Amino acid sequence: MNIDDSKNIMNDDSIPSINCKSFDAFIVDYIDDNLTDEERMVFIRHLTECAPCKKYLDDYQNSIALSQMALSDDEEKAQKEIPEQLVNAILAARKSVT
Amino acid sequence: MDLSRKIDIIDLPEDQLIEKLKNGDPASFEHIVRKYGSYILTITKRYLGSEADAHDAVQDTYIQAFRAINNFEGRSSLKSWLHRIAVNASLMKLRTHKRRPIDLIDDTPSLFDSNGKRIETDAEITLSIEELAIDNSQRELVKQKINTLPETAKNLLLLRDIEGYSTAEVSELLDISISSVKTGLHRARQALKKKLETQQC
Repeated sequence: MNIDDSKNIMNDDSIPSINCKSFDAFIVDYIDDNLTDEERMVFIRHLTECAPCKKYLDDYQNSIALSQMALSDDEEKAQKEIPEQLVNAILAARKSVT
Repeated sequence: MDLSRKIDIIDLPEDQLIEKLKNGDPASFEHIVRKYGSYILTITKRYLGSEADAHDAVQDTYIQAFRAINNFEGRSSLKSWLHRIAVNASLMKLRTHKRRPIDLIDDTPSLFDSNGKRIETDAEITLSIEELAIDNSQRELVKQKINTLPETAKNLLLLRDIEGYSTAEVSELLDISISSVKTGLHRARQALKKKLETQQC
């Protein structure tokens, strides 16, 4: 959403105003892009009017991104070979179920 | 397995490898154990923490895959299919440990005043994506924070934010309602955010 859109939303009295607690209940669906057009307008209106919620949402999304980055090298590390002992255990278990 | 046979299997396109697996070919089974085993171990370790439990879950994954291969329709890659079985096997292992099945965070301190207005704090996340990208110790720090979350909260974060499962899929995997997934995920993210904020570097 660009600045002009945000200004339009702020000046549009037909868009209901919500408090921070109600805003909070929308966050998961906002991130999943699961809000209806109307809910999204209400959400954005609050976001443009409330600096603490804007900061909260920025940190919330940053926290998700940090967790994704922290675990992103797992697969790279998985290029190492599987322990031979575990391979043998799996092959033996397979034989026992055939 | 003799070397020439091993090379033959490595070179097989996935659909032919799957056919061999469906025919019960032991060499093909060993090939997928060696090819994806380390990756699967990484997944099971995320959920289970303990090395021994993670190994058991890898073994369970392959045995379940062996039993179910004839039902595999190839709509996803073999690796994605094994990944999903590994997540299930890990969650099953957590259940058999008789840990609390649902321990959603329900004691989050209120973030709002009596009028529903957000209470402002000075807390800040000082870690950055750029730092994490180059600093392994910072990545380990965030992993440790994730690991200190209550079990279900951690699983919700892993399933939704890391593995990319949908809310409906997570609901099915954890056997909890869609609204519990959403509420639990929100609280888990809030809890992680708070843990990351308190780590002022």
